[in-house]
Amino acid sequence: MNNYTEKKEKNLWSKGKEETKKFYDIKFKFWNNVKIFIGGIILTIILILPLVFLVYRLIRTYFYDYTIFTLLIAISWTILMFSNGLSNYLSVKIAKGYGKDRDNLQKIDENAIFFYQFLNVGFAAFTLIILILFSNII
Amino acid sequence: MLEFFKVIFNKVLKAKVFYKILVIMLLLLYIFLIFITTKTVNVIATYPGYISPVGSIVSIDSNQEKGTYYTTSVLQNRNISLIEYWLHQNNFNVDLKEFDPILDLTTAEEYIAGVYYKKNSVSKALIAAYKTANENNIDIDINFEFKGIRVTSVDKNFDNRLKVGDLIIELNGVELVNFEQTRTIIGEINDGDLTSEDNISLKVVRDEIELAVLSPAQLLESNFYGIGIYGEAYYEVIDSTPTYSLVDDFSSTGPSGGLMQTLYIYDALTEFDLTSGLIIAGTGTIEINYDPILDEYQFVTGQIGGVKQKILTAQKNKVDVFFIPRSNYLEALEVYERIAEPTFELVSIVNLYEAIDWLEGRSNE
Repeated sequence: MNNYTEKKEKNLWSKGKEETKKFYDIKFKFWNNVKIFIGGIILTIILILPLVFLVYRLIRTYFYDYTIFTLLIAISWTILMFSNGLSNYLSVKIAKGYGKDRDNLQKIDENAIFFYQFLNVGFAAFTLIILILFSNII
Repeated sequence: MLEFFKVIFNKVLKAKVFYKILVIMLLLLYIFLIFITTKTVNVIATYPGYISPVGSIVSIDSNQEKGTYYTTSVLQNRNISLIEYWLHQNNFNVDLKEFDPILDLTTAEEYIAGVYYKKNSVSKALIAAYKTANENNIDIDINFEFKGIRVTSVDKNFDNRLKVGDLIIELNGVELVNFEQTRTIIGEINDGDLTSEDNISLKVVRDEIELAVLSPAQLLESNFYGIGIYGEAYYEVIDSTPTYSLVDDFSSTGPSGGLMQTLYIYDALTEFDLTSGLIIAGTGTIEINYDPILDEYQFVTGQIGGVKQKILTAQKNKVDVFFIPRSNYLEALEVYERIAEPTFELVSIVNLYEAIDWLEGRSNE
């Protein structure tokens, strides 16, 4: 009962952090590991490609307008964080296909991982710095 | 990985009709977005740009009080995508122009021409400013040389054997010594029995190598024979008192900063800061006209492009004064009057004297 209450009190972000750790602790064969990691990234790139192109074209269209440019940089930042969440989510989904018989893997909550990685503070800070540097170059 | 796709595919197959339609719609949206963002159109878009201080281009070794003058640049994008084209259609800030492969320069040619334009613009600005300052102070002096005609554009309608960047130093066996003489030679060539069968012999400098070129005489729309190029008189400064140093700044190219470069150099050579602390920006080329009858030089401002975007750039950067050549004034005024609260005064000028007089009048107020 106590354990149940403790689990209920945890927010999605904390749960995602825990689930991420659990997922990283699961061992895969070397090549499966590579496929899971690369697969997640490639699928994410394919999925967000139109958005990336769109934002790039909008930046080229409105770069002279400070307000719109700032807004577009903020949108780019959100897309980058979303992509981080999505690639982790997809990696878990692909991994589940490789370990159908592994209960600990099947129990992992990919939605929580997506939420945690979407709002990953370290990644957010890193991408924000990169974007600020990029916007200064422009 | 394959397993993952199989699961997704099966899920879609087993899904309700509504979800199947949704998936198809999303796929179509995906293809549409990729298409409108990657399909390009042959159009050049001109955008508002930025202002940059002339001090970042040239520096005068004098102890006189110097004001800050700004040149105004616009930005261009070629081969814009369909979505950019659609968005620009009703955008007052941006001008669109279809790319003409015959008359317009390629990106590489444009850069070469732009760099030469800028180098020559700085030379002409130095000559104009030093010569004008010399009228009140004979210690200020400059020696310069006419180097020839620099090819800035080639008409691809014709069999053209010249390239953008070539420096023509000899025309029909006659060495070019000044612009007026060049014009006389071209006139003389046309007065003869020239036909389209004839060639005009040229000596050009290309990549620091002298070449002999036979260029077919081309009958122009004006019924005048030419060699199918656009060019400008190219000058080089030999020495000056006081000396100056060039900062190799080609972040922007082109001739339109000539007037502001001249004003900055003139201000640096003379005793007082003519700007009175104001942010002075502007645009317009500076042209050297020699009057052999009066034996004097006249420094006039020449027409430029991208007027609308330059006015908008001035407003964005909250300048106080903006100089514009008289030939561009009406176009500039039209944009200026559409700005709700302009931060600057729009001043139309014909030549360097007018600009100096205006600044002196303002600083005496």
